[in-house]
Amino acid sequence: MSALNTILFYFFSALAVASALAMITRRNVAHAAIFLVTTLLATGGIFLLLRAEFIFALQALLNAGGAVILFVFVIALAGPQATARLAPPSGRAQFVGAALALVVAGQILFAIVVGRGSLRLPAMATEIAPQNTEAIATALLHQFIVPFEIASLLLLVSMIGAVVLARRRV
Amino acid sequence: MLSIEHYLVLSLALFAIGVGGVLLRRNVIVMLMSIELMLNAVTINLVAFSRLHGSVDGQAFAVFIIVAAAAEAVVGLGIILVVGRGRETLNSEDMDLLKW
Amino acid sequence: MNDNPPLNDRAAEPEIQAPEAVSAGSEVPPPSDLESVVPPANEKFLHPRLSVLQPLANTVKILIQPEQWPANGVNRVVLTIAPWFAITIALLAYLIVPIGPAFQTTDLNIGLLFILAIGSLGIYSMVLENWLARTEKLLASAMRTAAHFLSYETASALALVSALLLTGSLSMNEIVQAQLDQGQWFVFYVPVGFGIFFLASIALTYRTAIAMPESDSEITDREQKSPLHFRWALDSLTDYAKIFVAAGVAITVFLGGWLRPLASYRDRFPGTPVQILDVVPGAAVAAIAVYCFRSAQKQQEASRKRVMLWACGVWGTAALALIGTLFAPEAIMTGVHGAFWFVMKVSAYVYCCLWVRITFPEYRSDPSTNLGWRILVPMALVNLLATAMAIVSTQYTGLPMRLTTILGAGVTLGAGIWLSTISPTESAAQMAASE
Repeated sequence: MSALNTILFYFFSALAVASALAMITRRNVAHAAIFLVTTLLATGGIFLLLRAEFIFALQALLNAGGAVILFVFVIALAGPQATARLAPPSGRAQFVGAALALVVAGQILFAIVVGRGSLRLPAMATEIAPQNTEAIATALLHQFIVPFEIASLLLLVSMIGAVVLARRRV
Repeated sequence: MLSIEHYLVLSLALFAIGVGGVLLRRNVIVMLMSIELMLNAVTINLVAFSRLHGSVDGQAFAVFIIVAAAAEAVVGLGIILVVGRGRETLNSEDMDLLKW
Repeated sequence: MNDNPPLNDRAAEPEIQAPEAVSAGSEVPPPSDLESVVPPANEKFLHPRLSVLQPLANTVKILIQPEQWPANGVNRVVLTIAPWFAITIALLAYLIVPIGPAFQTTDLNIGLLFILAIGSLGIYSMVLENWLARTEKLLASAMRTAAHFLSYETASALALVSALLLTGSLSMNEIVQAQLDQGQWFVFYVPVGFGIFFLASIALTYRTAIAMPESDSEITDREQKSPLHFRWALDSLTDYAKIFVAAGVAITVFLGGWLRPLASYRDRFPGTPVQILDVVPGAAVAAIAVYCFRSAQKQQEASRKRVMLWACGVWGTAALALIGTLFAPEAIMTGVHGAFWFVMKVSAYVYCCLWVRITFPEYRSDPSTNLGWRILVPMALVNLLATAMAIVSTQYTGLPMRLTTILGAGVTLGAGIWLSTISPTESAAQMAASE
């Protein structure tokens, strides 16, 4: 079981990272959207390995199934502009951008390496609530009820905002 | 045997790729996708820590992140549509109306 | 990439198209079913005994058909993967649908959510396939497909949630168990929810009356996208698989899954005439066997007679097995009979879907999207609220569940009628006038 988990973990990780790289390097925006779906689904596989079935379902339903479809819609609606070949940024901008990304990565890696020694993390908990969905629902509706309501308000506001933005006359 | 570091490094890689996408690409749609990617990387961290501690609090936060990502995608894409309609471009370099 | 001849130039490739399609030109609509692929000319060469193998022969024919590609530089990898993706996703749902208490592959605790999540991915194959063909028409059709899909998917998910309120679990097995415990199929508690799901599932499976992804004038394009070869076969297979998935979900959630009718009476009133229902599966199959036997005696040709006798033997064996389980232990009996009832119900549901599809004319794309967004989705929301209030009022006042849910259904229906009186065309005209 453990060996299978390890193999699956490396498989999903490789898939996620490779398609994420493809996503940011592809010139064609439509292809980038497809690779984004692949990344999100591979991450969903990671969630399943972590026994977070509910998060997996949300990931597939909302992110891969909902948000990326929105991207696809916008790409199709924007038409040639979306797929227009833009002039690549200047060499200096590219250098600075890549350097910044690497610096961020380095900082996080540093934090992980340092934390590994200082933070005595316990081994992965082996027992997990068998009823994942019920456990999350209980947590959301008891402990996190205020953030939950705020999140629903956020969704409402963003829905109204999107409707207003997308109307022809603003 | 998988430890928490595996998941942290995976999340780190995805996050760094997302940062790179935002900084290196000029197409606003791809930039928005990269932001989705970064949020996704953070979700991995939260779920992994939730597994580590054997509690579901991290997963509850992951739910909030997914909700926030959806809201962000909706509004961001709405703005992109409007801007693209008015200015006939999706290049972030050309969207410099507020640039001094 | 561009070395293929354009596909709409049929005269250039007469050996691939059926002869009558060539002579009639591009007005001939493409066959929409596997059955109609059969070139009628072939049938008379077949020995009558072999004609039952005709579908098999067609499958092989489609399999060995040379691949054809849209002419203009399309991404072949994606176009090849898309149908496989679609069929995988459509079939994955049966991973968790319980076909009888004994036949369930796995019981995820996110059950229904898994099916919804998997189903929402199905849209990619359609959108990508159309979109990558890089024609304006196909792009428009892809977007329309996506819009349809989103509206009806929302409606069907909300309709399912109304039944979930009664269960309190997402696990498919527990949903069926709850219907056994409450002594009622959920269709009687949330009839409107079931109606919404039925309409939405018809629309989602594209076999339809309610929403065609493409209208008649564009059907030639669909054929151009995927002529009669293996990708096309996978597409049709996916369509049918989707109907069966929708049927499985509807049966499990609303129509009692593998429960027989009046299943809760088995324990409540043992030994009453209701128990005769247990004999029904065996009796029904035995009736088919008897029919086959009598039909065999009427046949003139020896070969047909032999075929019917074979059929009689097969059905008779099944009938004997089903009757035999009556004397077997309880677990085996419910297991086998559960599978029988489930298959019966799914067949009836699929029959109704196809019936609707054949009976009603095809709608244009915009009225059907209106139906989705303006009527079904709000109705599903009202239905959800009404069901929740019915459950709560039953808990607090002790009124019978049947009464409160009927009131809820009445409210929902009223809301639906009110919604349908707000004519979409009128408001569109108002919108046009205001601009």
